[in-house]
Amino acid sequence: MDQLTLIVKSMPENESLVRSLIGAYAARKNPNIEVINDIKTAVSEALSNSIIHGYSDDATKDIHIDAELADDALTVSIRDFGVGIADIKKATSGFFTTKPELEHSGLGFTIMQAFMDSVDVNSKINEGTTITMKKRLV
Amino acid sequence: MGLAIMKFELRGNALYIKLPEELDHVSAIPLRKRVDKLLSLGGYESVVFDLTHTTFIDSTGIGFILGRYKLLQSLNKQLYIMPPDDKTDKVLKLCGIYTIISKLNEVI
Repeated sequence: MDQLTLIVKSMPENESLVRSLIGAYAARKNPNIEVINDIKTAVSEALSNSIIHGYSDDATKDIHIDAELADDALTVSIRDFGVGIADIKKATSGFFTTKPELEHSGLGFTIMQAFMDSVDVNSKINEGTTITMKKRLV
Repeated sequence: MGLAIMKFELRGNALYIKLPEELDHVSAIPLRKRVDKLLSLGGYESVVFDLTHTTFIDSTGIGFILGRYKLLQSLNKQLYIMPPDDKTDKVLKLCGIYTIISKLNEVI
């Protein structure tokens, strides 16, 4: 099995690092550049969610990233152990944000859903959130 | 990266502001303060966000654009966008940015 596991601190600076790394990992299957770009954007959004919402910008916390290449598809999971999402349906609907004062557009999940083939959100209050996304590469 | 130089230029009555290569969670927050300070100085009739060098935009970047749009609306000023390349522009299109903000090439 071609798998990758990463643990990073909950810092915004890690978003570009992780999205580039997962993009490079997916590039092994030679997808077109647009597919890689979609993956990078979606991974970045998921990570932002964990940092801003899961951990309220507490940089001491850990985020786990698991990626796997199988059957010409990438599966990537971003997991935090933060506050969790009270209402997943509401959180994943467009323009919903719990932090409008920070000018978050509330479009993170909209972007993930549009750019990946599937997005699965698993969350428990005070236990954390796992976002699992899949994208066909060829 | 947050301290990258912000480039701007007044052409006629239009204030052109060049946005960074990555308009994301890291760059958008410090940029917001600097752009708002610049916009508060006045001396322009419209603002153009030049995204032609931008290769990555996330939802925080979209929030940045929408926030400045609202600010400029309250000042009765126009905002235009010079779009990035197609793959980056996908995010702006998806988020409906062009339903409220015109592309510069459509204005001229």
